[in-house]
Amino acid sequence: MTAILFIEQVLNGLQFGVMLFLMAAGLTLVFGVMGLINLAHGSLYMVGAFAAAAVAGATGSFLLALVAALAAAAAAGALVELVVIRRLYDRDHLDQVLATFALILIFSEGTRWVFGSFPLFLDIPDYLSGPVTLPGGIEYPLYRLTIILTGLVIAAGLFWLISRTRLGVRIRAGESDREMIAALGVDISKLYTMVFALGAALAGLAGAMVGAIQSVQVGMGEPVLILAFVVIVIGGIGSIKGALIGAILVGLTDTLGGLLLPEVFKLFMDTSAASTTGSALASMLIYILMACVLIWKPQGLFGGQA
Amino acid sequence: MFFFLPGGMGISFLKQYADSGLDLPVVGPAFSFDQGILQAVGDAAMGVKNTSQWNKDIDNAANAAFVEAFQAEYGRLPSLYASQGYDTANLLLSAMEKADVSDPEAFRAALKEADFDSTRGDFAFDSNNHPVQDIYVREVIKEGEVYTNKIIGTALEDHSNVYVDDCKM
Amino acid sequence: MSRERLINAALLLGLAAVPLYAWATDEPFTITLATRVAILALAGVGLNIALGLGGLVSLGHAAFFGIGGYAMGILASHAQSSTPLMEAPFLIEGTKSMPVIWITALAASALAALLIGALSLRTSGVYFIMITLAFGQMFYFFAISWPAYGGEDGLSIYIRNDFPGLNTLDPIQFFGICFALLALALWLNARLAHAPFGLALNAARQNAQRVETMGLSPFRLRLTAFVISGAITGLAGALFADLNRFVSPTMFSWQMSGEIMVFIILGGVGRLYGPVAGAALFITLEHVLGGLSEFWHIYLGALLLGVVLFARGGVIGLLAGRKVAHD
Repeated sequence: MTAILFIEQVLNGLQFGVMLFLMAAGLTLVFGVMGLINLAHGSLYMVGAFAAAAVAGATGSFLLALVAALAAAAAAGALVELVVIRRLYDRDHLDQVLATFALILIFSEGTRWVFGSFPLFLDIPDYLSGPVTLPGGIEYPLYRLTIILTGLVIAAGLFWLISRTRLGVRIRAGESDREMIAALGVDISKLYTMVFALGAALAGLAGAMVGAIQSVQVGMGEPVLILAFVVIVIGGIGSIKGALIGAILVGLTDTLGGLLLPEVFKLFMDTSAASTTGSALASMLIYILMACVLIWKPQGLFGGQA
Repeated sequence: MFFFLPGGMGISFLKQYADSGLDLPVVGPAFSFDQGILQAVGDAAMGVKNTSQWNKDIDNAANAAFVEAFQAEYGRLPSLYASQGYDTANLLLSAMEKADVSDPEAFRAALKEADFDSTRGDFAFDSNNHPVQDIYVREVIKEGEVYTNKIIGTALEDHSNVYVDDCKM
Repeated sequence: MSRERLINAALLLGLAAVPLYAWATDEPFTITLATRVAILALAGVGLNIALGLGGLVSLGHAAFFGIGGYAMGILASHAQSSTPLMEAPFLIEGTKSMPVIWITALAASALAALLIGALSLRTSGVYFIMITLAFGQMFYFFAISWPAYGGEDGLSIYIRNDFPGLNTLDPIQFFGICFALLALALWLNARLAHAPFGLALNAARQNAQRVETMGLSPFRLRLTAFVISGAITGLAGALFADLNRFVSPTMFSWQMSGEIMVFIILGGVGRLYGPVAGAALFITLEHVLGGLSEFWHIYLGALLLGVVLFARGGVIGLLAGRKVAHD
């Protein structure tokens, strides 16, 4: 294992983490402000990817595809919020779990109905393809660097939004005391719809960007959803900072764990046993991490009140 | 470079491989290059060689009829999974004509005879119930707007399996 | 007799009547379907003890379902290949006897529930949900990566295990076994709910601090409930593996946990026969809607959504009235 491989995997871990952050930011806002567990967040990721694939196929422009992903996911999010989610705020978590689980079914089959069962084609645009030489002679795909950059820019944007704008003030107030801000005259319903749509848009963007390097197919959001939940729990529910740190932590742990654990085991086991045990442990690693964080800090790293 | 990643994983791998700048020739089994996922991979899969027991251009009556009927019914080319399903259904039907389903011994024997027209051409089971068939080498090409495979050679003829002599059956 | 009791009796009789009718009309598939309902209802009864009685929302209960399944798979596969599980320090041979497998499944799941519960019950609310999910996922990935028992491919058991005196390959007889176990679990659940333990647990669910001032420990109450709950779900897992004669890591997946939870919520959380109603409804819908349209998941999702939004308290709540003032 060389230094180049290690650094490349660190960058991969960062890219993975940044993508998870986009998913987790929306999830943590929705949970923090509205107290709602939303299992359908993965479906919004999928909607973004499919919208991007459809628009890219029709127009050939990747930029338009990304815009379409943002718009479609935000629209889907707003629609879902108005029709379904609105009625769930007063219900307990179990009802929210069942309702959003039902939404997953509807979204997945609906997408399959509209687009067919086969994966769609979405590719990186030519101006973003190919490797870039980083200091130290390391070649790394330009597109992945773009993802990392985009994610960090969005993180900065979210921080600015939360701490410097009126909307951010309302969101933070809503996290502390929902009823109070309603009493103070803030239009709760509009706030909620906006927060939900914002979270959905971020998920859609993540789906579109990742869809270009992976595959755009029905059900692509489920594995990411679970990881996003792990991230917000590690980071602390309601905290954007926690979502970012948690996401990068999870991204790096998962990627580097898969790389380093088999190497560690090779020190005292034969190669095939080492790779089997190593990869088994690596896939369990983020959950072990989450369990440890929760046992040490039951509210997550930056979590306030539950 | 050989890999086996079916479905979505295959799509991801091929796209990222094409983007990485490496130019080692890629080889894999047909499951990574089946009709269903080729459209999603696009140009990244062009020219890749893969091996399979079936392709749409195998020259026999059953296969020609199958491909034509499939395209008429579903508006797309069949994948090798579709051919396997079709063959299996025909196998079961042929066995049902010879023996009653409620008699396991007789039905098993009828299945073993494999007396049906397979899309792969001649079809038979070996002593350990693994098919004896030809394995073809295919290449990914583009026909008009559709990515598909074309047979460029035969890798193994009447190939059974490695364990047939070791098997107790 | 209260409405709920009548509905419960109707459910139980219905669950027994359908396969008997199918047996008389020679429709083995329906019997298998009913067996699936019985087994999944059993898993739900297990979860309901933790969820309904204890208020513990465990999204990782599939861990116990899978442990039970793999207990069966491991023992039966060793019996199949006639190699012992372990040679030293004890000689443990495989076995294909159902009662032995059940006891192993119960014990293994209970032990796992003890460990998982001891760690998870330090948290509460959504954090508890997530940490139980984490443990479930750990088991899932472990099962995928462990090559000795099939890994991702799963483990096939060629012949169903033996129960003394019965031909378990006969669908109606296997159904009888599962139905009997379900009835036993329901009876246990009912006794538990009305015993001092159950009442204390219910109180702890509503107000843990009050219970503490009474001198009881909510943690111990919940842990006990969690262990019992895990054990019953584990038994269901062993039966499920026997039904399909196949064990795979998907028995550990979070989707499985979610499904079991969906049955309970559908039927009515905290209701004794909630899991039975929920499982029966879900499996029937799956079967019936699947025949109607290729995109039947949309209708299923819409129906579930309708039940959540408009039928508070699940199906039994809808039919029997709000006798149980549950959250």
